Amino acid sequence: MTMRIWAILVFTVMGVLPAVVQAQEPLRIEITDGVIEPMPFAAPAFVPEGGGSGQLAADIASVVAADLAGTGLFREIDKAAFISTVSSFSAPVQYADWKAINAQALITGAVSVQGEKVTVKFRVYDVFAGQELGEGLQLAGTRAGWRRMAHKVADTVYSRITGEGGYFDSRVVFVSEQGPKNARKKRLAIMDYDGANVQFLTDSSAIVLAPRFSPTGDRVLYTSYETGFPRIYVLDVASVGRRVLQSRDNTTSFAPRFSPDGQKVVYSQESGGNTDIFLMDINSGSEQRLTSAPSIETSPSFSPDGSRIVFESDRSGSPQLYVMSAGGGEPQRISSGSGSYGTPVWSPRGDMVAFTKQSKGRFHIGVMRTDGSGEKLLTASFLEEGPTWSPNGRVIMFTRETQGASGQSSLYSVDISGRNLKRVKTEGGASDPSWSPLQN
Amino acid sequence: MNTGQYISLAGHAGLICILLLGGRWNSEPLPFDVTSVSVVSTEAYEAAMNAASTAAPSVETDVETPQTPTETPAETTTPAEDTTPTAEVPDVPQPEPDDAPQIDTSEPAPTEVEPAPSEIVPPSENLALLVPERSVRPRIKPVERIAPEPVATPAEPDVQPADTPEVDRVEDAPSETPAEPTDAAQPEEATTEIDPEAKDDSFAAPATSVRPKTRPRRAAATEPAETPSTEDAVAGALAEALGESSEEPTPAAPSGPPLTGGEREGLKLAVSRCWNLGALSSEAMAVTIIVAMDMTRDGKPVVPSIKLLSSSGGSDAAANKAYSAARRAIIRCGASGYDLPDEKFEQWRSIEMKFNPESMR
Repeated sequence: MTMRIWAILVFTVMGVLPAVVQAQEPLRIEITDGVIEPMPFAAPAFVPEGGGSGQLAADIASVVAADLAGTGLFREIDKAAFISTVSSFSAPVQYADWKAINAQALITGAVSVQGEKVTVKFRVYDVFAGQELGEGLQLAGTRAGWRRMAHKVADTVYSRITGEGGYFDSRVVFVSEQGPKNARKKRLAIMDYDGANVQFLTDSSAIVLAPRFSPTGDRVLYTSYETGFPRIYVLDVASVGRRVLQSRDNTTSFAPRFSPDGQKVVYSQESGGNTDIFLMDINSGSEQRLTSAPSIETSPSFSPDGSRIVFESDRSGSPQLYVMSAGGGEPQRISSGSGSYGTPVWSPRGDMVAFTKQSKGRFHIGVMRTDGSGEKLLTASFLEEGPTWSPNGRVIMFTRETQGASGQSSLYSVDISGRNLKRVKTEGGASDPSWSPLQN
Repeated sequence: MNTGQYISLAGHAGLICILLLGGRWNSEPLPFDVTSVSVVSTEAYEAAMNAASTAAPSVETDVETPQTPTETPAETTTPAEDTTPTAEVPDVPQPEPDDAPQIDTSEPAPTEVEPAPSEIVPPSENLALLVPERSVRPRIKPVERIAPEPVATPAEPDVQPADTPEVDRVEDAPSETPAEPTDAAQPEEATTEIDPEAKDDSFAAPATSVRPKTRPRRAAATEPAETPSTEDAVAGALAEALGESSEEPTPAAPSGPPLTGGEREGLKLAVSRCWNLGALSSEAMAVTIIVAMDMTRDGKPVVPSIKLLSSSGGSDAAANKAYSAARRAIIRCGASGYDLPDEKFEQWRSIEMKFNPESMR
């Protein structure tokens, strides 16, 4: 009996050992070079379910496709190339047909309308994996809000494919500019991120500057010269009501920004020829000085966690970027390249700082890590400034002004990789954009 | 598949064990020899003496050995007669029945000799340990039972690995190959089991074709996978051992010359062309991943075998997106088969690709 056990053990071990010892050494290779190109996707017109939804279904699918293609990360395949047609939302996907036209992602959807109520449902497919990405979703809204519904669909699709949040269901507040350069009229305006649905928040009776969204997107800080001196206002976006933030006499306040909790405002205040950074509690009006230096400190911006502030200072002789604690204290310089740096803005993700750089007679929009490393200039032109981050920290919008007496300001956006630089459509001139967070 | 090698090793290992542990197993047979010799030797000695006096010539060795025993029979009986006597003893009495009827009467010895074989039966139990090795070979036929089943299935998964998931949903695909309906029919039988078996079969076939120089007969080594059906405990153990090895997707070590630098570069280039990082998040672009896959002989990746081995530099979500992009690249550019040398299939049957986007950031 003992021998039998022995035999069993021996043969078991001998049977397993070779498999372990002789497990095949796979061929190992390392891929270091890929391609950076838009991912082709197919977005057939959404299926209208019920009467009266045909045009809306097509419009929604069109906006979804435009959102995705507008990122530069995706490329819409011409519908004329489609082999399959999607006539039913629940019909099985003909993966082979979509593979044949190299569609790597497929978006299908359906729209139904009942009175003013609109329902959109959609699915996203990874064609080459032959499976659905996530589960189908359904959105309900009003006919007037169909664009927002389309943006939300695009946000979901974008998120499922890239792995990061979208930014399509967001808005931008900016300064709308009309007229020649020497007599330009400015007023606050708000629009969808893609330039649609423009609404004006102020009239053009006074110069307005530097609007900044609150962290929740319901309020806007801006600077107005309607009293002849720059003063900071808080405007409620929904009601367009506003109030001025109290400031000390004989001082000039500008460049305001909300703290991440939306309860405080950090801004620059000029007094007696010196400019420093202050922090004010919006409700109580109490003020706290954060810097105290004979140099000019301005353009403060909170880190997303509220623990630090990046700002611009010329204490070293030329405008450079510095980071200090949210409570003040000795700042640390983070910019180190040649030229001057200004208008820093902390990324919503907290890992980068966007800035304007002037070097060798040209302006640039760039990004760097919060410790100053990894500086990367994304654009270059005669004049550009005022970067603002998309809610997902992937895109930067900024102002670019063309040269000459007839030069005009426009809004541009660029991916933080430096690709997909494009102009944002606006009627007339536009400057000083501030991107809102994603809407609820 | 290379299970042939496993089995070969198992067999060799078993032999080695027998050699190593032979002392244990031989301890039982030895006493039998001794007892039989002790019984036989005395009579055989007499018989030998008689034989020496009458008919000597049958075997010279017999003749010689008695010569020395004549002087010291008791001493030499045990050592000298260990080997030859036992075999000769039955021979000796039979050829000389006439001369020694007494010997016939005294041939309870032969009757004792017969019990000896019956006693030898127990050793045969020990020998049963070896039986599986020898009995495995006759069981070539079971292989033929196994082969027909997987052979039918692997042909399709190998040819259309990417389509298998589609088949369930895409039944209307007009341009899709007619193989899809067969897929739809086969899963009813054994959808989950067919795949691994199919892999085994696909591995087994090339293994025999690549290995003929050294182990030409080992194609039959897949049989042991059948042997587990035997009730014998030893055979069961053998079957378990071999069964495990055959279930492993990774076949034996590759043989033949390795891929040349140009061939490796060609593969890298082919995958690189489809590795699109354009739609990845910046976090996913910071992730380095290692993806493993099996290949078919026609250079196509076995889609279900593609898996993420490891990742570094980002969150799990980012790693998953990076993996999706890599997987997409492998499938897209491998749809028509990568240009890899068929004669070196063993070298690229299994591939691990490291996707390092550091230079792409």
